[in-house]
Amino acid sequence: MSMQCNEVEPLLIDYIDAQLSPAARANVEKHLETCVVCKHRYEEYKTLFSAMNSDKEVKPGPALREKFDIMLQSELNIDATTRILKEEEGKKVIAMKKQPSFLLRVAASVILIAGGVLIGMKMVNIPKVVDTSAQMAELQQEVKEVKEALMFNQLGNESASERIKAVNYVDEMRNPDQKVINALLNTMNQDKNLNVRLAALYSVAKFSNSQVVRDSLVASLPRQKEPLMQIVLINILTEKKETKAIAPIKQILSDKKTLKPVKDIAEKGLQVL
Amino acid sequence: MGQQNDEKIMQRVKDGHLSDLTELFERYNVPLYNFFLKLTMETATSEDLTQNLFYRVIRYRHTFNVANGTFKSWLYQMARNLHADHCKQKQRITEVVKNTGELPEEVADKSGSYEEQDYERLNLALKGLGPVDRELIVLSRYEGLKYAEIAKMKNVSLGSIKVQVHRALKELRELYFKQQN
Repeated sequence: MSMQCNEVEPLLIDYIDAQLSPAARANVEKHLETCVVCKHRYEEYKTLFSAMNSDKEVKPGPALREKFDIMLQSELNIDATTRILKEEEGKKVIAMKKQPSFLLRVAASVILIAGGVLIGMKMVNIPKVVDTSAQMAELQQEVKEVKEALMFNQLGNESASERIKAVNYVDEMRNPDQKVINALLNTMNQDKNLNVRLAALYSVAKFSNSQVVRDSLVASLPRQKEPLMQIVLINILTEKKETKAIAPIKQILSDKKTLKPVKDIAEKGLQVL
Repeated sequence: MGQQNDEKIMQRVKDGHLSDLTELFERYNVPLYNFFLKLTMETATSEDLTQNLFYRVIRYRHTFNVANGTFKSWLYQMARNLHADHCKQKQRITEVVKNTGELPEEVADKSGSYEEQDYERLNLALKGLGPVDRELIVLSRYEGLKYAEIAKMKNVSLGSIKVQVHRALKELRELYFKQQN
């Protein structure tokens, strides 16, 4: 049985892809031997497919992977935080012993700090330049301004991972000015995402040698309702032996809504102060 | 760890082992980027879309269900949706600048030893296709999705997808060889 050209054409693609039954294949081959038009079409498909095959994959820029890593890290933090908080709430109901909750708390801090460090490491890719010449100083000033601009710009970003990245730009600044510190404090107090607030808190904590920064942290303490934020803030302030924190810490202690682990930390903090 | 299949890895991600997603990112970030690149012909847009897609994978990881199909088809279904959203957005922008004439199109990187001429010729032919046909070709010939997978995504019969892909390839062949003359 011989085939017509209009019957062969739709089969050519499957023929090249080796998707035909042996019988259909034989028919197509027989037709191609005698029909110049179909043979030509067949050659054209083959040329087209080989052009498509050698159309190499293009690699995306390195930023794609970097952004993915940050996004994943941020999600891991959110995940770990919610899981730990859920377990804490569960414990409150069953009224378990102290020990496991303490371990969980430590786990939570480790995850968060490790996450922060990881994200931080990703950001430090500008080589440190040591040069005293005026030109160098000027250049550094420019870099600093660029980073500041980047940070302010990114802080308004929709995605939480971008905002965390913005907060981490501060790690690359040697002497961030008051404007930058204020932006961090604002983020720490007002960002809608807990991970961003925590990242901002960790960043601003690096400047807690300054009394102004410590005052701001003390002022922020009564506003914090999130247990993790409370824990980290209390730890930072007690480590710095900031006596102004005593009053707000006492307030947290007397609040009925405060979670048990936060109270534990608060009590320990008061002993130190 | 041997070569685990995508579905198993995604199931683990769903069960809380979020970092396993890195493996799926390794497998798919380049193909997906190229998928978007073929459809949009813009490198920056394609990177953004790929990034957004993985964001959606994280966000909607609980909606993945092996019973509904492969991970790959789930992924490309989301990629298609993202691209469709992008087109709608772009159309709105185009409406605004309509009077200023054609929008300049960014041409993708032409790196590698691959013949530049062939590359441009193929891209021109692909551009000449309608968006639906172009997507069909990219999904079936570049991304290697099976006809059955595409049929399921588009909610049409297998036979109908085959006819559509063949018709699109026929048109592409004609466009490709017409340029020669």
